[in-house]
Amino acid sequence: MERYALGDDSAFADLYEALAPRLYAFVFRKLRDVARAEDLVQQTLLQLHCARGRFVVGSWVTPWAFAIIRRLYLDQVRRKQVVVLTRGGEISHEHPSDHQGPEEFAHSRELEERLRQALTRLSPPQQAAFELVYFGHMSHAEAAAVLDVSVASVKLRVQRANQVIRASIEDQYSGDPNA
Amino acid sequence: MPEQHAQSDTPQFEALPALEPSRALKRRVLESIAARPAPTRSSTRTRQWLGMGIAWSVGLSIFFYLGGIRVTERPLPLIVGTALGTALLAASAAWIALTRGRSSLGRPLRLALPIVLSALPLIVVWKIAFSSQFPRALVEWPTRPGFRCLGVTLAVAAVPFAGFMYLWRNTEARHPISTGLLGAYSVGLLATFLTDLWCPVAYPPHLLLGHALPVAILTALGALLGRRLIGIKRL
Repeated sequence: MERYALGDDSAFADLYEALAPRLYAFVFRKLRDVARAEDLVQQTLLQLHCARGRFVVGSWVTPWAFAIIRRLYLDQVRRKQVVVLTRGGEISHEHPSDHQGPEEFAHSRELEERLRQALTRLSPPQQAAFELVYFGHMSHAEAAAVLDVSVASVKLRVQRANQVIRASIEDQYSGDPNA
Repeated sequence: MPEQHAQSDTPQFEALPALEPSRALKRRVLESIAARPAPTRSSTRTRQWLGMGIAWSVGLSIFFYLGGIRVTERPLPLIVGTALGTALLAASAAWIALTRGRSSLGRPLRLALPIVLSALPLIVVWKIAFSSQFPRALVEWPTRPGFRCLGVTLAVAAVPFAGFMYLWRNTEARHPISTGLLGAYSVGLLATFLTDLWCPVAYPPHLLLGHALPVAILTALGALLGRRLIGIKRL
């Protein structure tokens, strides 16, 4: 990002490779829609491009990008442009990985479905911290920068979210005779 | 996954499938970026300094048009002392409010907000405490309740406030309301510093009405417009 902020346009390709997959994974798990997820990633990278002049040399670019995509996502939700899927919602696009067999894919889909149901039991701050750390693959320090809270606060939120989700998934499995 | 996930109470979310954006996305992003040239760091910095410089030049012109620095019957040490303290506090608050520190996301709000917002009470306390060292400096002026100072402060701050809103538009990802609030507050503090040079009155109710209230008005306006103007929007 430093090279790009200083005017080296060719550095954007590296920036794309470093950020786009993480941003996409983060926002796809929230939206469950390929087109909308890619639109938000495109918007985020365009925002980063336009704001490259405000990049502080030596600072992290990942939390900046995630703060932007989070803001764009929340704005869409506020304007009701996005239907956030909860229990009983439909998944608009399947998204199997190339490395998965049918059984693994079915298992991971089931796990995602249970996880999504469990996420609805979290408070908004817990959910935000959990999603950044697990869906965005961020460190606690990076998530703290996105949420503008202390690292200790993120650790606490993630720990409590883990407890709630673990209990929720165990409840789901214990009520499922096929589990 | 990051190292801290390896905790005993962490559920096995690693089984979630990897997700990759389509190849067409990269092409679309590169096309949209090529169609929209963006300023580099140096040109952004120049633009911001130039923009705020012009805005404050207009503010200063209004200040001098309205009378500029007025010594009246005040002792020079009183003017210099109050002005130095006010300038130091206002400039420090403006620096914290308007610069980003070591992060592109800006300073942590939990630190910036209390530090910056404490500047106005400190300026009022400093003005009263320093003026109390001089005889009759704190006396009431029945003909000067503070409305003229209110008007002068708002008139001086108007263009810098507009300049701040324009230059910071569509930039803030996390706290647009607070950024608008802090920016407007710091513009108000700098305008109050100029009003202190213009106004000989240090009577506390006058200070609250004529010197502190305009800062509060600008702050409220900054918070109100912050979300609409300063928060990032779709391009």
